[in-house]
Amino acid sequence: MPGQVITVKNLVKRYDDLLAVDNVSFDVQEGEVFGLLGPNGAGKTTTLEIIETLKVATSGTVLVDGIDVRTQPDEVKPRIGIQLQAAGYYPYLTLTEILGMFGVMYGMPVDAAKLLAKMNLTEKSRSTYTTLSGGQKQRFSIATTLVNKPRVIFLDEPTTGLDPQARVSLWDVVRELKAEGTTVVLTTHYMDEAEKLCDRLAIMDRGKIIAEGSPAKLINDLLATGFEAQRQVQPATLDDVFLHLTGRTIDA
Amino acid sequence: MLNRRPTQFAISLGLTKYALIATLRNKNSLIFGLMFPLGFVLVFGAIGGGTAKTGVGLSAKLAESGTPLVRALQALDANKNSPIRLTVASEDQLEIQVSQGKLGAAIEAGKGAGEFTILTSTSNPIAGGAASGLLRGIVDEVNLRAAEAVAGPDFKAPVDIKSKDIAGKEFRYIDFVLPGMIGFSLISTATFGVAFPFLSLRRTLVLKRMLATSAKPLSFVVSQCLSRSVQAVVQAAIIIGVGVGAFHFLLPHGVLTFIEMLIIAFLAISSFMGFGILLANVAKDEQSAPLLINLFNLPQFLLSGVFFPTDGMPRWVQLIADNLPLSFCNQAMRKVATDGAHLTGVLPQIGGMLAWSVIAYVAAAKTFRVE
Repeated sequence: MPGQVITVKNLVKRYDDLLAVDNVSFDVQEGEVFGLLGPNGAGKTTTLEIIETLKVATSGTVLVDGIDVRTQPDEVKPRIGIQLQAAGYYPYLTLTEILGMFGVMYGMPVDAAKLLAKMNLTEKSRSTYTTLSGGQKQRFSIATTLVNKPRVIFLDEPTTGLDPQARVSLWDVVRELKAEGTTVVLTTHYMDEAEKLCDRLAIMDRGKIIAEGSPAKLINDLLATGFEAQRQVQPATLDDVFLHLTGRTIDA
Repeated sequence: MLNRRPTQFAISLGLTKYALIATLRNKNSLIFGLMFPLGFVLVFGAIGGGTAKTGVGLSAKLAESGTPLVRALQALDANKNSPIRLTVASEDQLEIQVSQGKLGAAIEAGKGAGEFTILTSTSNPIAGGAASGLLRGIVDEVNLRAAEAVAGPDFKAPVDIKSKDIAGKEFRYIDFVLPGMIGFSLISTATFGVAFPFLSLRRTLVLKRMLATSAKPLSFVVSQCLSRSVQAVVQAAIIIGVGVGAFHFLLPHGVLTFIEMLIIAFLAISSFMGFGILLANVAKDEQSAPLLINLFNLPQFLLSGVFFPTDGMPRWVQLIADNLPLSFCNQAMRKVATDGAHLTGVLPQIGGMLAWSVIAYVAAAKTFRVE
């Protein structure tokens, strides 16, 4: 299947008495930004972690770059980059050293300076992770996902808890990655973020995918049912006001 | 690009480098492993600097009498190398001090002329035995001289009592405590220094993130253990260095003993780290970890001969005390450091450490978790 980076078929993950992922199927095309949306506890992270080889599915198939994650996880790992929700990094090491450490773990040379420059973190190269701001931490996390030049990167709620400037700066990073041809899978519970960033998305609720398609298609499907938004959409949002007043700058 | 797969060996070594850098920057990691034992060495080294003297009391009344016995005691006390420290006080005062164990024994005038009473107390039987033995020796000697004076130079005492000096290494507390402190340092580094970072790396999902790469759990564990071993061996070398430099700790075979001690340190830390990882796996979080670690460490500090020997303990306690993980390390360290044994002479102890390693690492592997 050329063009398909991820294929998920009838994926099920059952914990003792909880069906976290309930017969989920979707695919991700090469070079697109794919969003997994849904409320907390919908099963987004579990689905992602199965694709990332961090969890084992109860049943179903997941192929990454045509490789089965269940039978060949060690072949999948070098092909993907992962940003975990709320994960930290090795303490007492500088950003440059942490990137070097990831290079060791992938057996690849790392151009830490280049990666940090790409994420606007050049001045922080000798700082430790704990001293970074929220937005800087997320941008650094993305830098670590790029160390092994992966086919696809996974971002789990990359903008949760960030201020508007940091969110916008992170969106720019995702757009840049997409422009360079990197496939991005992200989870979020911000609809505006999904609408702005994602080429296609799937909405999950209680372990099931309840809708899938491009943001425009999903909106059109909804309008076709005769739905009308309760309020007229304003030409600007409060987000725009805030960014206009405080400046759309990166929190360096 | 994508198919280049690193060997786990290369990953382990690479991660070790970064773990060592992190360790050096983390000042906390050096507190238990280096600062505490070194502090103990300095304190005990200072205490044990001179030979301990036995406190002997002399009643003021008797002191005034100026009898030959008193003169002999005072002459002995005046000597710089005397084994006694003479305290002159009233009989009531002496009784209190003896009963409190501050004095090993006291001598008072008895009822008749030439009669003396030696006071000892159960509060300090060892010092009491030493002090009363000394006093009896002096009494015997004085009696002998008196008899000589009466009977003339040809007098021959029925039993010839002569004191005899036995040449030997002067025993100082530092000689006992320094090998014990190395053991203290090793087990602290292996528990506090391994369990806490493991727990923290697990809680902050650093471990999970690392294992999402091509690195295997075993490579991660090996890197942590290697970096701690390097730290522990360097710490042991520093402790020995301070002991030799500041307190004239004697290494029987010089550099060879030094190297053999470091080899034992490496074997011991390797064994203890299995327990460090196990404790990290068993502990729910960083709050419950200190309790578990102390539960593991404290009995060994008390029973493994870190601070004091276990010879005087009841048999069944000794049976436990001789076979704890730290006991094997301390026994091996002392045999090499004080008795001048070589590694071939401590094979049973090395075997003991290996046996504990197997138990610890198997249990650690069975309980290992990433999250």
